[in-house]
Amino acid sequence: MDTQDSFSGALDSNLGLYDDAATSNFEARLEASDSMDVEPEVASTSVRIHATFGVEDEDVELGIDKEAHEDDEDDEEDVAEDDLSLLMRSWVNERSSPEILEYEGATIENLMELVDFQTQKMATQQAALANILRMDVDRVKYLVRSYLRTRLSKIEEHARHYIKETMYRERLSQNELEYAKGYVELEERHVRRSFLDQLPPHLRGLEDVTAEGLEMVPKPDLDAAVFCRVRATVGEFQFEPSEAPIVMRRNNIFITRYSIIRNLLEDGKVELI
Amino acid sequence: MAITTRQTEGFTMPELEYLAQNESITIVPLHRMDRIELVRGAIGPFRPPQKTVVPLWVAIMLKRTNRCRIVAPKWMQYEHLRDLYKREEQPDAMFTRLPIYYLEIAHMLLTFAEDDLVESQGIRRLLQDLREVRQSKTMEGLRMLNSLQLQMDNLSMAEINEIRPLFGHSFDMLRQLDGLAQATETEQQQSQFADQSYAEMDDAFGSRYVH
Repeated sequence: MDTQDSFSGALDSNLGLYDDAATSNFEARLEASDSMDVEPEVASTSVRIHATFGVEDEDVELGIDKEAHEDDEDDEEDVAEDDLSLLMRSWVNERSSPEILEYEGATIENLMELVDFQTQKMATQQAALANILRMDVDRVKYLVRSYLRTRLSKIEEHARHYIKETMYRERLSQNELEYAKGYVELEERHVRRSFLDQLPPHLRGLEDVTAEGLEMVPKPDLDAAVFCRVRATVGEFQFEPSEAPIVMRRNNIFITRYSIIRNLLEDGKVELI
Repeated sequence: MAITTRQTEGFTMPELEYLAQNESITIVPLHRMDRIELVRGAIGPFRPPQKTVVPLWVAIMLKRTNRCRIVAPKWMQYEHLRDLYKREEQPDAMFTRLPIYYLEIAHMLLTFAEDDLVESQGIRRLLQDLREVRQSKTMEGLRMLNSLQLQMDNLSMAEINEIRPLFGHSFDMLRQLDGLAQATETEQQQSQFADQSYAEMDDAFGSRYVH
């Protein structure tokens, strides 16, 4: 584990680490996305500050005593999740799932409002406190950025498929949809210019489905292997109709096909890790 | 590419540390400070020597400027780790329970707050031993992998991230082989010429590896 250097770098320059080379290209793109520019005149009343940090659900003291209350682990997770934790979970899910997931627009908007509010507050604080506030805000920004960037990379991978299917189109934000369309256009123009136009006419087609009924648009592999952790006890769960059901309890970890736990993920019963 | 190739295969170490830094930890502040409203909620007030719970990243920031002492979590105490190791080492033992970010947290505490840990050298050694036992156990688990599911409770985030490429690809490969086996089975039942279906299976294999 030789991350120590990079890690201290991150602390010193307030997340300097996260501004890797790849960032700069996409900064511009992301800047344009709606989620990033929230109107600055946020009334302080509309800003939600959440309950005290210490009373978070089960992980006080880093979950040391989990063994002690192994039995009452069933009735947890009912506590409302704060926006940051929610986006954090969505980020991890998004990173691990083969297909693009629902866009967390409202969550991001809330968070960016809070970020603006906190940034204004920073100016009036003394240095030591301002540093903590800045770090806090930078951490949120980093998360939002990485989340959006993860989605962009997935959109690039299956742009055609996502704009073709209604289900996926609805999962994209307005900006993402435009991005996907632009990407498809660019790709098509590039492919045509670089070689398709030189091929015999009957080989130039770019239809979604060929005359022979062959689908040409690549799809995400929904059967891909994923690791998931159970968040709320599911009970007996049939991984496959022919197999005996397996009891899924909170904190169990499985490696399985994405398609099998897809519905559980949508219901928030499991999370990907 | 909006993210790096490494990132499509899982999480990078700094990313895991980023996630781990959101876990709570108990500190003893050394300076008075009022409550601080953070995005996720309020922390403090800091009234030495009263203990208080903060996110790990705050604890590390304060520690680096010498404004707090970090209270080692119970699972990271020498005796606890020793017991865990003993249990972990038993033949046929399951993975013992540890926080999902135990490796990241331990690494950060050993780096930034070593003076707050009792017997830090021993802790370091035990963690290393624990990790090795768990690693060899995980590799044993690979034998049990099938194309449907495998339960692997109590593995930590870093450990999962480490085995993700190997297990993921093996799983996908098994899945493809399973599909192939089923296809050939039905074919064999239909056709009297078994040789022919073998030839087809070779074709199928060939095409899968060519690209």
